[in-house]
Amino acid sequence: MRTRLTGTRRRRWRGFTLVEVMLVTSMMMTILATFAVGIRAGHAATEEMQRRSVLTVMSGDLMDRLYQINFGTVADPDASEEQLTELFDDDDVLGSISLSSMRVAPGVPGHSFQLANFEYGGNWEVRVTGDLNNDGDEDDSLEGREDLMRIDILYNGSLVLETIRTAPLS
Amino acid sequence: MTTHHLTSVNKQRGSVLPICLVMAAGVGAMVSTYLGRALVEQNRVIKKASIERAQWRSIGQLEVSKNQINNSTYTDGKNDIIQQALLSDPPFIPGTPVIVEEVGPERWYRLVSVAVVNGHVGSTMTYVRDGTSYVAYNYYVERHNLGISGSPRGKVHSNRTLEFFFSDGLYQDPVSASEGFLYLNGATPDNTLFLGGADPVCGTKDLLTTIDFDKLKTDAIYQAAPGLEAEVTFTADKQARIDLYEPPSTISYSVQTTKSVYDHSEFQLVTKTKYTYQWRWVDVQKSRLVWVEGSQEVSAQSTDGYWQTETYVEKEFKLVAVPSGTYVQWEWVDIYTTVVEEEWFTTTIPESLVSTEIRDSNGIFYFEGRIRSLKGELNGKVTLVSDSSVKVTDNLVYVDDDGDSAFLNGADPSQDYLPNPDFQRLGHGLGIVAKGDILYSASGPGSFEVNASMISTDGVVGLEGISVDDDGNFALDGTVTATPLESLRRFGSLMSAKRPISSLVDAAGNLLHGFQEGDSEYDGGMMSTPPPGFPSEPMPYYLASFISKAGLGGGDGGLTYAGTGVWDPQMNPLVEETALVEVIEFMDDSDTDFDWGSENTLDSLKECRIAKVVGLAAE
Repeated sequence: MRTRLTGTRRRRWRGFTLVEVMLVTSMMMTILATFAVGIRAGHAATEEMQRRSVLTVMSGDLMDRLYQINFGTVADPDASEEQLTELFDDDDVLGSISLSSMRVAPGVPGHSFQLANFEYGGNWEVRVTGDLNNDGDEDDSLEGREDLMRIDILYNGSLVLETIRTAPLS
Repeated sequence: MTTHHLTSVNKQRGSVLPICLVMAAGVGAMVSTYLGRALVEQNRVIKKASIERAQWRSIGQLEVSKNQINNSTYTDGKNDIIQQALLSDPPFIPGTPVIVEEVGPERWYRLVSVAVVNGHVGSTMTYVRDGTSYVAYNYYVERHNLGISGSPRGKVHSNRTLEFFFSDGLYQDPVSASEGFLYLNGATPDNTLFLGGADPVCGTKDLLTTIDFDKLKTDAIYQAAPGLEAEVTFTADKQARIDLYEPPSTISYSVQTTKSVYDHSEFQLVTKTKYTYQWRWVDVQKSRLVWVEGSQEVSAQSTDGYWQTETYVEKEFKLVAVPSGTYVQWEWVDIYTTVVEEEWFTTTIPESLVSTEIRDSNGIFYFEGRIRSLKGELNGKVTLVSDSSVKVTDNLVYVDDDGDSAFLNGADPSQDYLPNPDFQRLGHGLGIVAKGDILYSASGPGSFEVNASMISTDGVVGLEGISVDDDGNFALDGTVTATPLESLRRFGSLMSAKRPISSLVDAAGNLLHGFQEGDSEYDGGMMSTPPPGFPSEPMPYYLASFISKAGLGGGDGGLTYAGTGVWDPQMNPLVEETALVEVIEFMDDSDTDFDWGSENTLDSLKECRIAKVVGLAAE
């Protein structure tokens, strides 16, 4: 019942040549590496997009708050830590802070804070100045006025949103 | 068999490479797909962030333009910054890339701001009226204190003291006074809430004396002849009946008469008659009372007859003087001259109807005399101006084409005074501007309803029969019988030099004269389109801003621009804009003198397109 193999057939079933194995192995490694790099890059990009998306939403919310508070006057005392906390905390009560009370001189860092439970951490900064074109002075046209201020929102030192707000008519 | 095995082995050896290639291609496709999706997501997020950023920039630009407009001077009642922009091409607000254009209704403009970040557009627009109509005030009193309570909407101001009555007052719009606030009858600073700002030390305002009556007269489509009194009745068919009366008058006339007037005396010869006395029979006239029966007179003492005086002649023998000749003697004689004198008499001429006119109830009607009667159903937009006073003699209400009134229950104080949901307001509005008093007739309906915004520049707005002196003290003036009335319901604003008084009570709080209760509703609807010529403060008035994420020139609610600064007549009045647009030209670069100092400056605006409204979506 047992069939004996001929010499030729025994040689052909011996396995792959070294060249074949090396070729296949290198191809598989290349494929897997490409796959891994691609997946990783895509994942990183997605993560970054997710982060930027959240930053956009968050900065928009902060700007909304800065537009809702009273404009105030130059006589308003500087904003306190409590007022800033009330303004940027997680409820809709914005407190008594005014935009004028947050004003700083051109080139001077604004009010910095960190958001609790913000998954990306980092430092936020709100800078309110009379420097409309952000060139470090308040000497240009329309600059330095009490009724016109530029608002910048920065995240980890990078500008995310900027706008200008004028005092309401009395 | 052998051949078969060999063939099989050869096929097995040759399949490894293709399998690897297929796997590589598959993995490559999967990676490409994954990275592609990541790229799409990245673009989406970048777009979202860019639009958000562009939006806030466009808002900022709009704010700068508003700041310019707010601080602008005015010439002939027009905002210089807006006028300057309209004359430029493109019509940018100076120093900004914000475009201004007329939108049709008088003094209304649209401001459009566009910003671009990474090729993504954010845009913001708002409507602005270059003057804030006086109808913004619910109450304004220039010379006296003003007392208020409840939760009135609209601005409230007194150049003297503002008196708040009762607790829980709620004021949602600016409240101001020049001489402070006073809290009375339970009102306190703690239970009185100001949501629109409160200024108890506001500077005095001068809104009434600055009203330009000459301009109103020039702009009037109807002017009553001088010296006539008017009765104006509005009718629901969009017309106004104007009856002009020559008022009752007293005229004087002269009659010439001659009179002898003593001039001097002369000493001269005068011929005199000489008399002698003789006894003679002469006729002597006598009288006696006789009883007459029958007829009756007032003087009769009896119903059967009366006494009457009767004369008769009787001969008597008497000593009488009889002329017997003449003689001449010197004596002083008075000499008189005849003079013509003019004597003046007066007579009263009753009033007379001079003319009756039917006019469309639109435009400015100017009366130099008083409007002694004003009433009716107004289906239009009118400003009545009088150099004298105005008396509202009956209900004065807005009605639409279907006859629906603006408010419900105006004559039924037992029901709430509520806006009528069936009323279709298509520019309804009545402004009354008078130099004298504007009075509700004391003989008018007991439940009075008045739809109008009223200004008395030198008098009072109140009930007939109550006088207010220069110090703001008030009392019955005696011109009418003191009459308690049921209610007054007013829809519109009230401005006067003197304190508005419509009810008088005695020391015990009993109503002596006037309305038992009142209800006033602020007419905010007239803020956007006030009655023609109704005065405005030199202060811009903005509607809420519209923010678009769709950019310009496209569907999806993208903002639009007419391009030439001239109103497109196809555009509906305010607010209802959105939708169909047509690209017509490219915007030139702005001459802006500020920028955002980041990678995307406003220079990129030149890539923006300007669109033109060609139709509007229905609400």
